[in-house]
Amino acid sequence: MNLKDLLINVISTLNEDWENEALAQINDETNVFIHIDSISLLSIIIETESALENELGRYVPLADEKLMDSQNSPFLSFKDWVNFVAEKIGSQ
Amino acid sequence: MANLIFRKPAIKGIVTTVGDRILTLEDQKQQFDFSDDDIAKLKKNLGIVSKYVLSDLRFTASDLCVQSARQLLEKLDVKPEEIDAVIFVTQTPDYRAPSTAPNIASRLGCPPTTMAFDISLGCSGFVYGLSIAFGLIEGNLSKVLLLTGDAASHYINPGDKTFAPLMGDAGSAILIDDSSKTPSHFCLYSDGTGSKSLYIPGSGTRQKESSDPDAGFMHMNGAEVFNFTIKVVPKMFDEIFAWANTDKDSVDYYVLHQPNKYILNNIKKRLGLPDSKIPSETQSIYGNQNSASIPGTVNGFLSHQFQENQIKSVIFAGFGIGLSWGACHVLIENIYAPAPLLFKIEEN
Repeated sequence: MNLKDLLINVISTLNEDWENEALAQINDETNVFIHIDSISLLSIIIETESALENELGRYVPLADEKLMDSQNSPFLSFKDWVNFVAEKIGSQ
Repeated sequence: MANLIFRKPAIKGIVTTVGDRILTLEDQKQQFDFSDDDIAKLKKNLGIVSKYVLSDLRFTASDLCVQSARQLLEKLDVKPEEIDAVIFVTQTPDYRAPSTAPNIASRLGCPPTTMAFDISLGCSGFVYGLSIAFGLIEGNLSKVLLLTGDAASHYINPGDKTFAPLMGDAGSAILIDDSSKTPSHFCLYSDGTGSKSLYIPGSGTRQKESSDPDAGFMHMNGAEVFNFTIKVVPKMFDEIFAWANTDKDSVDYYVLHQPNKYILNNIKKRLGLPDSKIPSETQSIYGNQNSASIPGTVNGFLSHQFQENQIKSVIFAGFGIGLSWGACHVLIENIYAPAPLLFKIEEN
């Protein structure tokens, strides 16, 4: 599994409905947090958990008190989001 | 540490009355200027389908609770004069002063020898209220009537599309007596540093004068509430399992406050529970019922199971406004727990 590709695919698929230009091209520095509302962030979490469960055959809970923290959220840069998910997979 | 144990109290019945008006998300499309995409997101991520609210805001949470209490007392053949205490847990009292509970007790026909008081709590209110009711039984009362309910329609900003679609109106009545032979365990918590994550700025004496036209409405910081829930709820389960000397597989039902589908699904998966043990549809159908959400879930989705002649090991857990949270482990056997009642308007 290429985690980065999986996470890009999740956001890109959701963005087909959102049509948010800022998320059309995702790179390491993309700040997802400032471009979407909290329900959309929840969509990313839910879809990522689902994609990981399909890929790994087990549930990896991603919900964390940092996720929606405007100062420390891993969604502040896509690179941090990749690292955050990788840590969660490793710690479960 | 507020870990409590009780040996005498038993729950004998639970009745919940819900608002008489059913509003689907589609019904609210024009009010909140929802796009089809907004509706699809709310349904998929938060599980929202509809809510039951009061159609006439001359009525209040106390009216919902009184209807529940009348049915409960009648079906359990308990006379109002047998009730030693009435506790009303709500964030939507009839008046800021006095307490609503004495008036409810009188409306039900309870005599002046009945003690009655309010508790101001929301999402954790059922568990907290139950602990107080159980404490009164332990202190030698015979029958306590616990009422938990809110009519959120009175404090939601009708233009707030992030909050208003979530909230329903409901009132529950729970009868507790001294017939138990088995202990009940409670763990209760609070953290006032998050008191403004969910609050009504203009609802008390701190902010009497305000230029904010929305000061009288509930304000919610959804991200802070989400973070709080994710932080405290899993730990709370570990602590109630330890305090009650039980484990996750020995518990038959987990009846939780119902904030949204994602939170409940997350807890279910973290604990590795099957759907049948943790009902999670209350908010989807009825809306967030605040302090009535736990009894509302019993009546809405566990009515048959709770009326069986078989002892059930149950955990109730509430978490939210305050911030305040708590869980308890109780044994339930053959209690009166009918399906929810629809509020009937009765002009006095």
